[in-house]
Amino acid sequence: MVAAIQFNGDSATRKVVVTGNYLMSQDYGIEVLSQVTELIVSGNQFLNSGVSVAADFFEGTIVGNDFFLTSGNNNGGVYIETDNSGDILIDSNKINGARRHGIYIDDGPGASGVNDCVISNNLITGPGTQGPANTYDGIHVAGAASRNYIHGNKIIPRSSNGTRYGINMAGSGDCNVIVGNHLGDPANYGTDALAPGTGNILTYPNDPTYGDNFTECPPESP
Amino acid sequence: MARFTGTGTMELGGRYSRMYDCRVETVGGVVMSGSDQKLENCEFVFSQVRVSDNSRRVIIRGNYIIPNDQPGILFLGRNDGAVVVGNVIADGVGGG
Repeated sequence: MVAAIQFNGDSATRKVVVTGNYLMSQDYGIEVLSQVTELIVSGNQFLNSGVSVAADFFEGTIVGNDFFLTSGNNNGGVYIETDNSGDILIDSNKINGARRHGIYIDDGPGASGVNDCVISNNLITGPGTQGPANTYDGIHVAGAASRNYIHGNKIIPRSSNGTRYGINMAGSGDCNVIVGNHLGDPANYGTDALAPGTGNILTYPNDPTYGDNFTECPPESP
Repeated sequence: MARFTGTGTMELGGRYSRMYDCRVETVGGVVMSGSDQKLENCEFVFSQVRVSDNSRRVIIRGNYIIPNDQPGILFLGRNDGAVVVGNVIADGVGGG
């Protein structure tokens, strides 16, 4: 079992549009293993398959897709593990029943971070169906990721506290902005609705426990 | 409808080539190279579409692809301006 669509070359691919496809796989719907820029993934149906990026550089737009992930091999919704990357837009996707995290951002082997991305307006329902409970999050940001904007997402946790965090800022980066997400009652999560990390800018109106831990952030890169 | 069987690989190369309304059952499938190619309305049964390095502006539209333990569409290198639209890629539907 392999990806429905795979990018795996020795040189960079750019300006590719993948739209309106039905991608059914027990592995990945789209798997990016080599450098791709200006990739647009829009309006596709993914059945039991997500998007996985494990390339040394990536830049793209993942908008308006529908992920239905009740089975498959360890599939999350959108997994980005890359270095020196940014300008990634993940917006308005429906991610239903992710086996692991709904959306996952992390460094590649170079540990240099995924920065200046926007993760917005996604509806993530019941992430972490692959056991054990209290292991996976709606949105998980790890590594050195900084200056990312996480806004307007709605996350509905699994029943019986099966989802660990709604949003988990688990990395060492800072200056990420987390604002206006609807996570629901923290008691419905295995651990909590939000793990804010340090040095991030928070606005979380549902629970005043999470104050503004803003620290002075450097200007964003052009 | 043209039907292709066997173990070989077909190449859709040059410029402005078009392949449509066909059924491909070869394990090697179709390799798209060159530029401005179209692959439309074909069935790939336990087969594959590959887009080779240095191809430009290929369109892969409206195909039904059942891969056989390999990616349904595989991009190999620099493929500027490809459009993949309206395909069904259904791994695990049959054997393989």
